[in-house]
Amino acid sequence: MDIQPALTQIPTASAEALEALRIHYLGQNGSLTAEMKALGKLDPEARKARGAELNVLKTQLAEAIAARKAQLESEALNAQLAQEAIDVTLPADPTYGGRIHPITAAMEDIAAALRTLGFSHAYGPEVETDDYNFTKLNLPAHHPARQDQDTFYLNPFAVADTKHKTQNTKHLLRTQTSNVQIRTLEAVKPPFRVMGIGRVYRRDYDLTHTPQFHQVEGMMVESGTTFAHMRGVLDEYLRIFFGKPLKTRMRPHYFPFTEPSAEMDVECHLCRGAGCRVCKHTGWLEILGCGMVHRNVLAVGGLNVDDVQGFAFGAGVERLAMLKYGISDLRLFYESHAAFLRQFGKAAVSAA
Amino acid sequence: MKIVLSWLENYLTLTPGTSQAALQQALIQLGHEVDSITTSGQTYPNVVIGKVLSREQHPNADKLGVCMVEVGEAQPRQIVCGAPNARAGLTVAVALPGAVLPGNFEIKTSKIRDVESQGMLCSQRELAMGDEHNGIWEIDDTSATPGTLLDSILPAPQTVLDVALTPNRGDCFSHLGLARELAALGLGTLKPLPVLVPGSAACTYQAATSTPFCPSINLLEITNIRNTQSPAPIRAQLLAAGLRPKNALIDATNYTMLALGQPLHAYDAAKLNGTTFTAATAAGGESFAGLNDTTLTLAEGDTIITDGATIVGLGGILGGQGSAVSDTTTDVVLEAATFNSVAIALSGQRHQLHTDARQRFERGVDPALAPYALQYCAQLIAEWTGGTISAPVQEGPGVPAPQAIGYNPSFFNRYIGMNVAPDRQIEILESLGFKIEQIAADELKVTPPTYRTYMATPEDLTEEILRVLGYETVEPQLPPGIGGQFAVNGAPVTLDRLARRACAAAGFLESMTYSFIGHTTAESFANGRQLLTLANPLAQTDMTTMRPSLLPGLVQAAADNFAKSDPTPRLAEVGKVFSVHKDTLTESLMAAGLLVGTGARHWKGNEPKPDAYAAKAAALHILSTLGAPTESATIGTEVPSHYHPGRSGSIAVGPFTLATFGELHPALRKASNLPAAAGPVAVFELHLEPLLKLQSKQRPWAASPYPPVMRDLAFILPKTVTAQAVTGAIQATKQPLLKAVEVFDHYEGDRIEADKHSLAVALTLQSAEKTLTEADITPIIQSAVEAVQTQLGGTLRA
Ligand SMILES: [Zn+2]
Repeated sequence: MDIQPALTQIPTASAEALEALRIHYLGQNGSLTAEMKALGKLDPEARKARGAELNVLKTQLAEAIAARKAQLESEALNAQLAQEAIDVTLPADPTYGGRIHPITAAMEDIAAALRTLGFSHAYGPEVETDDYNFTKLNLPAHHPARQDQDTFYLNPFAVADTKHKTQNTKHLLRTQTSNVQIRTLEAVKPPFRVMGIGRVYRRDYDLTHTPQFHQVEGMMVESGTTFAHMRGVLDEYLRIFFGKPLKTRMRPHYFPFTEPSAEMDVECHLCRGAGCRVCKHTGWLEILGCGMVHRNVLAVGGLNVDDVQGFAFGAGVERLAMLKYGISDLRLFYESHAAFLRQFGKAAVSAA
Repeated sequence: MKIVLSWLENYLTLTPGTSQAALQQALIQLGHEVDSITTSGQTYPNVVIGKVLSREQHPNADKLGVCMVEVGEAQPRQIVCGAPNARAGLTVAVALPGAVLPGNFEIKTSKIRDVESQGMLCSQRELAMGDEHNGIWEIDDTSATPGTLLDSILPAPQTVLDVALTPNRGDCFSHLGLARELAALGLGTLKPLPVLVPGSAACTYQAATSTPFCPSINLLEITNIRNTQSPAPIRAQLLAAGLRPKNALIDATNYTMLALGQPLHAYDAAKLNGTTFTAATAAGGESFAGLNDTTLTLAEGDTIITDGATIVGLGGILGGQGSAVSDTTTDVVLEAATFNSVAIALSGQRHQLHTDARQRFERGVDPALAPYALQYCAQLIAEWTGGTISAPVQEGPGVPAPQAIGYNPSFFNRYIGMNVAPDRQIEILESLGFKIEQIAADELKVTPPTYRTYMATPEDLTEEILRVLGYETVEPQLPPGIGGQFAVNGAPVTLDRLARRACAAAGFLESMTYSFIGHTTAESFANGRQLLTLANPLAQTDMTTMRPSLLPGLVQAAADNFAKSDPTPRLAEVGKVFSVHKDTLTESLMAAGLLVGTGARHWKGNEPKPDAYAAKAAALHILSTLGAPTESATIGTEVPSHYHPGRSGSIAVGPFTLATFGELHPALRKASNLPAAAGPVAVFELHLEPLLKLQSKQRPWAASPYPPVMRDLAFILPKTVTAQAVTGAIQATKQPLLKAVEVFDHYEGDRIEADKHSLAVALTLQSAEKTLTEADITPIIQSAVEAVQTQLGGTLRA
């Protein structure tokens, strides 16, 4: 029998035509099937020869049909996939781009820099007593330096706290993180290096002041800690925080809780020291206050300057953040503009 | 303090060639920040001296005159002038065409009512030299020659350094004080102060002190003075230093104070009621009328000065109104005293008086200075006004001489970390006025000068030496043994930071709002707790009260962002909240979040508005991120009153409430500035500190080789029965093979009774020992159904 016409049709046959061809030749009552069934009537010699011949034809047909069938299925699948295609440029399901506040990021960067220098976290509350904010820091009630820090005082409330026996303990919002120094000195013995980072308050509200801001405090007390160590540690701390070496300078200053006292400036990042509006044409930006811990402060921890000595420093976090991230207006930090928080906030799992 | 360079040079011969920059640098090195260097006084190009030759009536205007003015040119100039006092013979200031007067007013030749005017005759106000505007300036300086520049008769412009002094340097609140500092650094040499000869006439007045707060009082009398103006150069210097010149007496006391640092006071002798000047402690309650119409009720501890009969001064702070000098004063009593700095500071604080005298006395005035300053001032007065100076009177025990400080020069190296030879240290201290007595090679007795009132310890001396050497000469060193030794209280700080990150990771923008809020708002979020209020808030309505919750700040921030057309769906804050609880101040660390619908559209359909479940999910997500075992959390309904009472809940683990969540109370929602379109405001608050006390239980666990079996049960229940009650009742059957019970469907509506709802729960059963058969499963399911039926009144749904 001649299957040649069928073999010619199969490669272009539709699914239905292919099935019709298969039934025509190989189905229950197909012509090839019929010839196979008729083999039994032949004598053995002829049956063998004819059988082999028919088997070749059957295989040829079956393979051609299978090939065409696979091709048709693949085409159908491709057509389905093409039909299922979507526009992946349409917006994703809603996501919420959370960010940490730039001040949080700065506080973490500061802590990370100080951690590498061996400083551990210490703590002081935001509502503080006059004692811890001033008196124990060598600032008695009449001290003129108190006037430099416009203080928020709290109205009296009953205090059952047995630690502060007097009912008239004066409470205030801490004006500086230096209360951390006192709380540390009362709690632990040297050698130690501690940092305290957090919110402080001063009664001042204008273009360059907000009534709350953040400070970082550091204190290192060991037996041989010197002024030169203070300079070394602070230079290194600023280098790590800003991620590059910066020119710094130290000037004498006055703080009641340190002696000698100093202020440290960094070279103005905008004019590189040449002088511009931001640095008031000095080429320098004041960045922190520091000094050797005053003997009266060490005495709070029962320490004697003959045995141990150390240094302490304090810096404004907002100032550091403004310099590092290029933020020009201090007040933006507390206005919660979504656009500002998105732009200057940092990713939730960014490395600090 | 404003330092006038020409004045400074009265006390210091500056090294020739010292530039302003070098001067500024030196002051900074010494610890005196220079805020600015400015030039005081103005110059007037194209303004010359003129002499009015004649004045004729203007032909076309009643009130104008036409003057011919000689200005040193070939011909006099014709100038139209409306001043009533313009007349022939006056010496005047003439602004020539091309002159630019203050206020950017350029003078041009012009026609005024058809008459040409070739310049302008100036009043003092037009030259910004004073307020006098009744007419043109009548110059009475005989040296003024027509045609020369006006500048030639004006005081030379003054270079003024504005120096920010630190509170420990009372000794630098004068030109002499800063001259001493600069000399120590080698920028020049100090000029000797003039030797003064005291008057010999007997003083009519006596002095006395009965208070330890005034250890020394000095006075003298000057008679027959004529209290005119002080000399022009002095007035120029005072003005440059920021003090308005008044009359010779007041100017002389101010001048002496700014020159030497000693505040003084002059009393008009004619207005005194007694003759014994007495410093005493106020009893409290006295009324005192001070200068500038200040009326005070004195307090115990104030130091008063009396003239024996009446209070004439609040010592060291403010003089009395009654005995104030005036232009007609002829006899004057001049007083210079020493006051205790602490007493002055406290007294000044009490009365809220910020005077130049207080500023100096509370920072420390050289106790040895008063007698000299008194004489210095008296001499100025006599020079400027005539008068006879009496012999001085001094009373009081005085102030003990400064104590010597024991000092070992090797301490410098130990403390500062830099080697400075003992000789060099001694040299520097001497240049600063310290007296050195060498006891042994390693032992010095260092006596500070009387004006260094704050010197007490060896550390103080290291700072003095280091200031002169320059802080910049210290070579930075890194201390040995970098590495943290211990954490004092690190966990709460870490938790604070992690909470901020967890909120951000949950999609919240971290906000920072103020710790103080308005009192009414604070009360709405106080939940009955006592609030902590500021005694001296910045304003009386806002920022008065410490926040008892972070939510008010977030609600406001969200509203602000809506107002700016940049609404944000999720805002969070982490920080302290404050209240008084059972008489104890509490300051606790919390996190809070706010979720609102922003109206953002999405092509797949708009999101549902956030509700209590969204807030609950966020709270659980963040708590879980922070490691709280939220799988064992129980939900309660006890919430603060700022939540919607029916749409809020609390999350607790064991005894600790970790969170509250829900819709903001509709009343507060309404009071907020959030637009109605934002929908309900879903919020949560997390109590962070309990997280430090929670430890997740370590339970044994091994994978079971046998598959779990799931069975679903649906119940119809009274609406009052909560989902948690159902899962709780099933779990309480304590079937060992029951591994989990979870709610997967909830229905209330038309298909069931109005007071009923339907809950579907999935039970997970599993054994570690075998594959479960129906015989194992059936009794467990039955006990679950029974528990819900008998305990909760539920019926199994078909
Ligand atoms: Zn600059």
